[in-house]
Amino acid sequence: MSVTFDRKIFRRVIGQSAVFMGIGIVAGILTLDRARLPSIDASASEKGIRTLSLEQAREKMAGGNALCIDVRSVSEFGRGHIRGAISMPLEDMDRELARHLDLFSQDKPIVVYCGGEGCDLSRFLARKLIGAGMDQIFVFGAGWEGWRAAGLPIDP
Amino acid sequence: MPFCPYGQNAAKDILALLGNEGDSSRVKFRYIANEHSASDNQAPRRLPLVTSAGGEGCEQTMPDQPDFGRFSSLHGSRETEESIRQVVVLNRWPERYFPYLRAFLENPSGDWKARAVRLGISISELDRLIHSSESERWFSENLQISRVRGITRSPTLVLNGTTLAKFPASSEELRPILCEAGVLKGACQGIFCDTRSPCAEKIGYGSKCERGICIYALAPLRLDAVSAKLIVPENCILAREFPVADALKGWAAFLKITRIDLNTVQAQEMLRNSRPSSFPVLVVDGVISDRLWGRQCIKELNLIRDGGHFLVSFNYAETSFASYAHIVRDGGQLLVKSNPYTEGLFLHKIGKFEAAAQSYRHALTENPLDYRAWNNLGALLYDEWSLKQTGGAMFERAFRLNPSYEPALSNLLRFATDRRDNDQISIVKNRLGWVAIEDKRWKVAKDLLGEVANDKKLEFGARKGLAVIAVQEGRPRDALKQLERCLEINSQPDGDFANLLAGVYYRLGDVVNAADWYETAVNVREPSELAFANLCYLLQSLGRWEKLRTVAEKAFSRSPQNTDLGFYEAGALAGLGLYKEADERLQLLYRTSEKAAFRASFELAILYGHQAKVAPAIHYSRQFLDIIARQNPPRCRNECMEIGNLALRLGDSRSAAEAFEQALRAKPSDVAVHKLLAICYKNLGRSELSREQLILAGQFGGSAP
Repeated sequence: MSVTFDRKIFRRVIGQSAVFMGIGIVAGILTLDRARLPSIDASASEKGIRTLSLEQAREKMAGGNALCIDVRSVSEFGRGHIRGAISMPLEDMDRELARHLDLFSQDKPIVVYCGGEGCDLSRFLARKLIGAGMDQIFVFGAGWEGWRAAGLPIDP
Repeated sequence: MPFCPYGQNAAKDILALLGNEGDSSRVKFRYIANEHSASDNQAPRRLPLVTSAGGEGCEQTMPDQPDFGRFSSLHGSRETEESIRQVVVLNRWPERYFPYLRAFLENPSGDWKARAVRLGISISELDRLIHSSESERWFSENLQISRVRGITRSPTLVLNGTTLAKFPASSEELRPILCEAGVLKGACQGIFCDTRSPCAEKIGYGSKCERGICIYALAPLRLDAVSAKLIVPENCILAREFPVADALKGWAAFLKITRIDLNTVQAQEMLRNSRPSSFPVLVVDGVISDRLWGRQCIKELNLIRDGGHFLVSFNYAETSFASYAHIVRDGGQLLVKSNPYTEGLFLHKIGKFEAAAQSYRHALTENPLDYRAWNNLGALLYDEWSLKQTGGAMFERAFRLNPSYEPALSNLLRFATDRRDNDQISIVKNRLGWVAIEDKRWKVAKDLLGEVANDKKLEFGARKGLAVIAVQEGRPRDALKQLERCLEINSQPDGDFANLLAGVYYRLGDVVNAADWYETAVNVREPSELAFANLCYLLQSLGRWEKLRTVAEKAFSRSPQNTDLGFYEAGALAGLGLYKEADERLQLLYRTSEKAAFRASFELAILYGHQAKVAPAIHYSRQFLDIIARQNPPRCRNECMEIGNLALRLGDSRSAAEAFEQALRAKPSDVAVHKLLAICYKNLGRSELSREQLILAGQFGGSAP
């Protein structure tokens, strides 16, 4: 592995590349393992992830101030989603982030949701987004089910 | 006393300490000599009887007769003459005084004319002034100061009105003295705060010193420190390790910097008005502009904001740390604000990838056009989080923002290689090849473009690049082969290509094809200034004035800021014999800028010279020489030669001499110019100077005079 970024740190990084490679491999394994696990730590205190109640989510998304991301599959998204949300299934996260690159240059809160209370996908995506540099990430725990049941705006 | 060896050493020490601040320093050199009354039979004006300074030196005696004009000096007429010469330089060319002194001290017995020529001082003017009443007055005024102070010994040091008992024995002793007297700036670093001996607080000289070497200290040294607080948030690694603060301690020693936590009451109170959003913040609790290095400190701190380096020449080895911070001014306070991109770089370097990614992203929210942040964030996502698509898209974004940014291109190449996308690999290699051409890394460029030259989609661009490299390496035939192959691919290339091909033909001596292709280059939809300039140059060298007039007129009307094109037009008009029109064009150009005035005055002088119109030719020659006199070093060897020849032909030997003297500044060993200058001096009745020029011509390899 070699990283190519500014020359100022290039030499240093080459020196550290072996260490990084080790970390990278371990991190990769952990990621895969956790993805297969049925549950992960979903406590509200998890570093960098804040959970929103239905009311808080509604407020956050009112007026289009926050960006809403739907983590469910494309077909589920097609059957109905929170108004204004964009689709970003976990398996397509990389491709979708590449499509929505401007997310990285906007200082906008991001609200992530999935099916409902029992769904951990949104928390998982939130953690990946934080790893990618996003720092205003909120998980809407009640998800699609909670939103729809409350009669809040949906598409289509 | 220029020829006193003790005085010479002292002057050398002082000049070395002054460095480049000579002109702006408060140091002044004075001369010691006897001034005789108008009649040689009368005694010289005697110096008042005072105790002169001690130590080694040359003591002025009282000769009965003047040895140069109405002056005399301890080391004879050559010393008196040199003293007067230096005083003349001081008064007539003040900005060249210190350089002249340095040149003199390098080789006191050397030829003053060579020295003067090297510094752009007119020999004839200097020689004239030395023998004038003006220089007598200047020298007499200068001597008065030494006389009033009763100084008879060289060297003697007078600081702020106090004559020191003896001149410091070494440069090491001299430095603190000049620093403490406030006459030096640049060489005082470290002295101000290092001299702590009690005697430093006594005014005058000769105090007993408990320790150290400060027997010449003149003023209190120790001033109160200015307190400064570096306010840092607890969780900000960069702020805690902020290296600029450490650098400041070593440099602006009057700053007493302490770190305090952002959450303390004190910090909150201090930041109540400024409310900065980034940290660390450096709050300076006092006025620092009147401290030694204070103004410089403020200036340097501001430099960081501008992306400049910090403390490059002082105690700061790792100047790149400077980019960790920039400074904003707020209510008289200096606020050091962290830069998220460099913070990200720092965190990236120490392996804190998540925090680094956040910093890069902050950098992007502040400036979405920051291609470095896009690239580095991309590298992080690509390598650490396996977000290949996202990373690749970021490399692409960085590349689009700056197509010459090599790290992004290298990452794109890696991205394409990982995907085994051969088309993309070739495209990136082609682009990398062109970046290498821009950086003049010919071999790398040749390798990269050579690899893609057989890819049909990229062949045209790659071969064009290979042709550029061949031209740069002096292989125009190879360049032509590459370009001919390009023409087989695309018979109607763009203006840039046509310009390149024309240049290759020109290098091969085929001016017909060159002219045709330059013609093509300027007839495309958006022709470049370069293509126009090249065509004009070729037409001028071919003497095709009518065509040149048309092309240059069109080019100059398209790019009026490019005065070269205007000169081509004027040249065409003159070539066609339309002197009045040429004159009008040149007059216009003369008023556009100093650079244009330089060339216009030259062209006008030559233009009128060709028409044998003496008065305007001489007028513009003078204008030209005035501009040249302001250039240091002069950039006029050929032009000065031509103006000199013109002036000589028109009978203006004075201007001719000046022009040739300037030509010698550009090349002092030019035999032909020395000979021409000899003719000028002869015409001016300066046979001695004339002979010297012939001797110099002989010394530089010319035939025997």
